Amino acid sequence: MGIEISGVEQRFDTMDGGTVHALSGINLSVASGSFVALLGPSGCGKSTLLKVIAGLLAQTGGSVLVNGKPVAESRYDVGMVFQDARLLPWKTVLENVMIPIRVQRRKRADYIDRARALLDVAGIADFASRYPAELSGGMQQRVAICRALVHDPSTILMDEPFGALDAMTRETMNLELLRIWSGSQKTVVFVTHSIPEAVFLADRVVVMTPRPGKVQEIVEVDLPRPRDLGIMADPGFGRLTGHLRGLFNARGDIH
Amino acid sequence: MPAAISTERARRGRAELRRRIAISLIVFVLLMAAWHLSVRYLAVNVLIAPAPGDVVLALVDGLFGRGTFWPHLRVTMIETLAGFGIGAVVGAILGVLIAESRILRDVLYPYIVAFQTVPKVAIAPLFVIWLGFGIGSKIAIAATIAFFPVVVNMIEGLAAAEASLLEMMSAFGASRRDRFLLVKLPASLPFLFAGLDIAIVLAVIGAIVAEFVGAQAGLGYLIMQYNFNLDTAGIFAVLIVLAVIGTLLHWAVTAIQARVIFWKQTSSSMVRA
Repeated sequence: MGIEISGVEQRFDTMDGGTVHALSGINLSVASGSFVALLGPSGCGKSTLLKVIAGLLAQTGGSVLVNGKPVAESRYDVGMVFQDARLLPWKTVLENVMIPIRVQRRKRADYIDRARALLDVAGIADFASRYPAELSGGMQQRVAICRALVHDPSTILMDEPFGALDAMTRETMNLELLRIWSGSQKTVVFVTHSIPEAVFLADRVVVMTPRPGKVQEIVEVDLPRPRDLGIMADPGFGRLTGHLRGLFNARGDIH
Repeated sequence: MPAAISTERARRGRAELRRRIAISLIVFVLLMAAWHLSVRYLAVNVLIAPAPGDVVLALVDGLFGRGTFWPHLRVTMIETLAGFGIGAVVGAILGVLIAESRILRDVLYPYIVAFQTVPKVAIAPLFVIWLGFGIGSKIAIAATIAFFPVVVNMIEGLAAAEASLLEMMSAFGASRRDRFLLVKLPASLPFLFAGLDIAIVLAVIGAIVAEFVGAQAGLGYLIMQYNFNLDTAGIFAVLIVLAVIGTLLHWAVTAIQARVIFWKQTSSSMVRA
């Protein structure tokens, strides 16, 4: 089923009485179980589009279906990761991971083992009873990823989840994300402004351009899986990143 | 290595604290000496300013000699704590209602602000008429004064919850009730305690002022008694007792706050990934 986005429009009224056209005529279908990256410069509407898919923002036009249902009904089937970890400082790491279980009125006993297993996979099982302030930024973001996966949703939405991390940690997290995702059958929409990150992770890269935000081109990434960091030296990788960079250079968007 | 740095910092912090306490003590001794000498040699009337020695004698007598202070201290403490408790509970509940309900905010908040502009001391006589000379009127005044900082801080605190955390909760389908209980309420606690800290000291003031207006017991009543007898040393002794009570209550609130809002303390054992 996946995600079906058709004719989505988003307009915001500004303080001075004007209108910002954030998204214009977005059509996109994300196949179930595939990994799609939304790539574009700041202000191209990629995060806005992700919020519309998450149901955090009501679009002013068009429709979004997740697994055939409108977002309001599919919310429990979606997990979201933000740019910052957004952990509750007064809850332990384990209780933060269990937040979706708690607010969705699922049975705690059915998921507590899964929560612990996810923390184990993320390499932070020893910190289950610690508080977020005791963890580094990278570890906090791992907790946020475990939280997005704990209720076993079919769809994961990620809004520049590693944007605040240093380059080394970011590469490690990308690898771990692919390891967790592979074989999970989950649909992933991943927002980024990093061309190499998009190509490294995704099956398809959706290139967006600003003012108004629209889809300029969809690039298929035909690199084999499983992928490791070595793939960045692959000629195919260089060809794809070169092509994407060319798209932005032509518009003068890239810095 | 970070542990070494933190113990070094703690050691320097303690040395700094000792230095400040020493300076405070020296200032205190000098002031007392100056006070004592000016009463003794500048022929200050003891009815205007008693010598420090007389104040100490009155204090010791009131607490340990005849023990005059204790029954009054007990009454004032009951009035203060009951008034604080009522003011805090009502203030916190009203704060939640006003913060969470648009209608209640529009209807109630103007009245609360208008009420706050009335000096509570000025309505103390009315409370005595309504509730009599017993502790009821004193509790009412203390509660009235303690209420306002709690309600204002509760409203502020609930509004201070991070929008990003609330958005995260919505993304996972959290109900309004869950967003309130899991995010807004914990986020408001530092503000609530700031309000409680002000309220506890104001409650003492409320109880004393109410006792001035008309009472049969309490430290405020005792001050009035000493006033009629021109016993200024006794008044000063009661003031010292009141200062100690205020300080202890403030410490108690701060100690409870540190336990409740444990996540605000920066951890010395930060973990690196």
